[in-house]
Amino acid sequence: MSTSNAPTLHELDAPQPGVGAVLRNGLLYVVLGFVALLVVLPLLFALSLALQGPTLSPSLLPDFGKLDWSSFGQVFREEPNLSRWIVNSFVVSVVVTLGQLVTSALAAYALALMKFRGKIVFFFFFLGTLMIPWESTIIPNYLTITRLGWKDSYQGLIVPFLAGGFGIFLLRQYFLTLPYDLYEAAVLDGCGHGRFLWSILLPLSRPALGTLAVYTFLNSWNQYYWPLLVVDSPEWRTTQIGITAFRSSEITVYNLQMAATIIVMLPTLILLVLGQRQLVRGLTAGALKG
Amino acid sequence: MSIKAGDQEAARGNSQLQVVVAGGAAIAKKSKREWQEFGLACLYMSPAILFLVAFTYIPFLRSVWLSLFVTTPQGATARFNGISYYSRIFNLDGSGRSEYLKSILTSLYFALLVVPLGIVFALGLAQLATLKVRAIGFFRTVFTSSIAISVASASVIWALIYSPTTRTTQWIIDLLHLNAASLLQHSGTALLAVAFVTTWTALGFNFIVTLAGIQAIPQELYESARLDGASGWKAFRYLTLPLLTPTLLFLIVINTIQSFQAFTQFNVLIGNEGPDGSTNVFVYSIFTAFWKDNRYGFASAMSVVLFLILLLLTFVQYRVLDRRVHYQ
Amino acid sequence: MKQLNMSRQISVFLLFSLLTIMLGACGSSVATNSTGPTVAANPSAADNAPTTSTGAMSAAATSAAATSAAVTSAPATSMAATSAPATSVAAASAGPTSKPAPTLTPVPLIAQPAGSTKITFWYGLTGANGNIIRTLVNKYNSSQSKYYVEAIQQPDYDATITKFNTSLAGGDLPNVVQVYDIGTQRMIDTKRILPVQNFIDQEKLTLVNDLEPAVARYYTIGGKLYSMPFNSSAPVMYYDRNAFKEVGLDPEKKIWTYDELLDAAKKLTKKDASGKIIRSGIDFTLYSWIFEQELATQSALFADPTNGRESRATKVVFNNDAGAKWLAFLKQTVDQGIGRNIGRDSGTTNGAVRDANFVKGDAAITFNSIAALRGYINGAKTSGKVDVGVAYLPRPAGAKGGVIIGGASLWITDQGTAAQQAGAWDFVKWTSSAEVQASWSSNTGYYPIRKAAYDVQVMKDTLAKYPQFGVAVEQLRATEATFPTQGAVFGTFLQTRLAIEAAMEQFMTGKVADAKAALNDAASKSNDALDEYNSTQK
Repeated sequence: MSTSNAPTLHELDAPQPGVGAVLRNGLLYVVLGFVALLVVLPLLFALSLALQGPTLSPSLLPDFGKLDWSSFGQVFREEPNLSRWIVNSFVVSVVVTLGQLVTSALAAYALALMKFRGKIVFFFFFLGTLMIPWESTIIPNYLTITRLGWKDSYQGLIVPFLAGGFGIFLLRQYFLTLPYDLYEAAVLDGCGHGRFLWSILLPLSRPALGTLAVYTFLNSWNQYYWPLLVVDSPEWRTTQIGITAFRSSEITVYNLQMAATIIVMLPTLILLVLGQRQLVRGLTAGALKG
Repeated sequence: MSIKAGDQEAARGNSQLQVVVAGGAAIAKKSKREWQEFGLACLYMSPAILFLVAFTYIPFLRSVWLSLFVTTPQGATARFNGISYYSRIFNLDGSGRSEYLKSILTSLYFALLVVPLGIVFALGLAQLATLKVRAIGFFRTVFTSSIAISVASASVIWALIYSPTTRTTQWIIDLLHLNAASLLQHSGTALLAVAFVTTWTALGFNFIVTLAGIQAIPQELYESARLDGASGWKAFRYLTLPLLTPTLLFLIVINTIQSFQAFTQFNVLIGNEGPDGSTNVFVYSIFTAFWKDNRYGFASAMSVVLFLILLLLTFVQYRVLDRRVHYQ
Repeated sequence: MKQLNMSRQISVFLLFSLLTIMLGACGSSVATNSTGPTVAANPSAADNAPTTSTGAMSAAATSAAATSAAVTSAPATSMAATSAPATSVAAASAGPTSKPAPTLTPVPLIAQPAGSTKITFWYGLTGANGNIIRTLVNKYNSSQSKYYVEAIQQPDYDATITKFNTSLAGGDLPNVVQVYDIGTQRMIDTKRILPVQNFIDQEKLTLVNDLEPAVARYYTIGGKLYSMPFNSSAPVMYYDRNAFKEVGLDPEKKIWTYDELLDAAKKLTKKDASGKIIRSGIDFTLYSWIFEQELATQSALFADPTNGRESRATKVVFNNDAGAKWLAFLKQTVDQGIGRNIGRDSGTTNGAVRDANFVKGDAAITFNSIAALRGYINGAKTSGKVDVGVAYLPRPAGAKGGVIIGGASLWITDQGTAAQQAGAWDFVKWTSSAEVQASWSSNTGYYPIRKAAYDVQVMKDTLAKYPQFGVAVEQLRATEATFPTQGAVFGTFLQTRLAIEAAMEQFMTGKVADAKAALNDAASKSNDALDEYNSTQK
């Protein structure tokens, strides 16, 4: 994201001092501002509706004289499960993220730094999981989870996602970029695999781990299909299922619908603002999985 | 837990290592060490293998198995059905009904709408975001914002934008003289409307990848192009675009695969196969057979077909990625 | 780098503004807790077996208003009166100064007393209706100490039956489960059901004689009452009496033929100078349930043989003249510019649009379940324009049939010990008592399944308050007992509903010009699925 990267064509036409340049800059801001407005227009629309109070015929813009902020508080009372949904999403996303970090780091370490026969078999074993779309496994998985009695439970929402081929390859790739000398030196110092991984490799791999963490967290938070299947009772919904269900039940209460949606979007919006770099890297890399 | 267990194993393997380093390189010992290393590696990989076998490989094989059977509403196999589900999907069973082929085509059509739209928007935004003005970082954050918005949230918002009650999109309906209450209820516009939402949700991602691609183009190239008299549109057309091809190819493949897997927006915005089945993408067909009809065998057959389609696309993806590496 | 810092700063600024919004929201919500009730004009009924969660949930919103109305009408004997949270529901009709109160806070269940036998009970109603069920369960649990019913909410009827089926292998079945009407055959086919008839016969009860005949008929298959009806509804035609008076139509007329209704709709339609519809004569969704009803009004079978009542249905036959006539009628209203097709009903929120249009006075006539009545009346009060009238479903001239009931019933499974099964029956029997049914009906808008319930004071009060409700009961009782009006039972009803709505749409949008052809296609798809289903049943 740093602009110290290669400047582009436009940057070479850098503004010269003078009236023309000021005008040109002004125009650029108008264009930028307009486009930015277009991009976030749906969000503003949501905010606008959230502030219009309970009305059956909302207008595009709220009456700025009497903005009705009460919907944000009211929605928690109308849908007491809303806070529970947020907690659910947090628990699921955090545990899945931690789980993926552990399983991926261990497997990636073996693939990257250990020498053993049949490695290629394991390599393709993990690679194969990238080829199988989630949609092709969802029916048996659903039947399994139901039979285990794991509907409406954290384990049903979490366990199927504790490992992923993508994370393994992301970390393996990163581990391979670290100098092998490091490992040899550690071995000479009498350092075993476990200690090397834990106290040397992982601290060095923080960027990759961060990327995987943000990517996994976001994916997990935004999951819809799976929770839709394995969640029955309202208190076990995750935020994504919650807001869509809330929409269905309060279909004509636009302000509450939008307030709930905005509240649910906040954590990831905050994550974007705080961890933009990891997020961007994660998503760019994450695209490999599709 | 497994880390600790691994530690102990590692300690043992390590002592072996030291012995070897010390000099005694007997073949028997070497092979023993190899086995130990193998065992240790397996231990390290075991959690991942366990989960992936349990929730990816076995379910996938079960999907294939189920697809050959008629199943009871309980999900048990009732009678062997051979490949007749597959021939039904591809309209090879002589029934003359091609709704599943149509569904696959709808998915393709959806991808054809989403991908070009997404890339054109991303290119435009990325070009804007390379402007050298103050506070461009702010605009970049804004352009990226849709990354943080889930498809479900976006769909809930857009459902209201398209809703006849807010009248936000009424002008389009009037303009096109559509005989429908909303854009989502007309067979000619519904898929396009969903595609537009999808494009919006993918905008942040496509933008950031494109921007990274543009920033990776060496500045000197532009300087020399300028000396040759190429700037503005010409430079974009003859310099940026060709050099950005790998990035764009990458985006095309990713977006195609993702649009083939799109489900949330269809379920929230439409909730059925859409006006005249016009939004019945393949993943939604699977959902209907699976969730609404409880035809697990048939749904499994469709999900295997989806796997094959995506495998084909993934194959293309890796080819493209290989080329991308060569370019750079 | 400088710009990077700047972007950071702006990001932090953004974050802070978001937080401010949050805080502002909380603050102002405390300050202004009298901003008026939330709009309760959401009378999408869908109580008659909604095919998706959407339907079930909008029904819940409906009864939010319904609950409150009933509570104010009969506080002393009302079921809801026994529970504080349910009574605190604000009446949408109570005017803009009333406090917005939580409508969805789940009623807490009382704890299981030591020594009692636990009965698990899955129910598929959500929102306020779900709360009334929880209140009921509490009442049952505190009325005796032998059994304890644990009520477990499911997202909707569809999910309930899917989960029930997939749970068969795992053995984790409830003792009692609420299942929608169209799930009847599938429940029987699970072979894990104890027909309530067995219990009735054992205790030599005469309860069946007091059941609403149409309801008892629906749940009787092969001479056996399989499940105990619980929440029953019926379809009606809603109309705006004000609009009818305005254009000189008889607001008291109860039975309309298609032709009469077309004339009426023509008169009721108002257009502006540009030809745009301001008030449509009829707004309707493409709703399979109503389609099924129109077959019944014309005494046409839906499935062969005998709607699956004497032996397993082997094929659907809804692609008949009766079905085509209804489709043609709907198409005519649109073609003549006197009706609007709001789109498919199942799985969508179109029902809510139809309802909103009706209560706002944008449409003079619509078709829906009687359970939507209170939502409509409350919504109409909010808009202040509409006087809600209820009539029979329209029919072609000369049609002699009637309507089929909708809703859901309680099934007892063979799960658990004999004591649990006995407890399950005890609970189910209790829910079918006249008192409970009167109270249930008064709080929700479903009609009682027991004739004796009409003698209970709460029910009398409710009928006095909502005289329109009587029309639905009257229509039901005027219905002759035949196979067509008994309703079809077969294992793949849900798929068939989706296929019918798709066919209706194809015909309405002109994609298939012939109604019969569209229905033929739906029937052949349905039969594929039914053949396959039947082949898995021995």
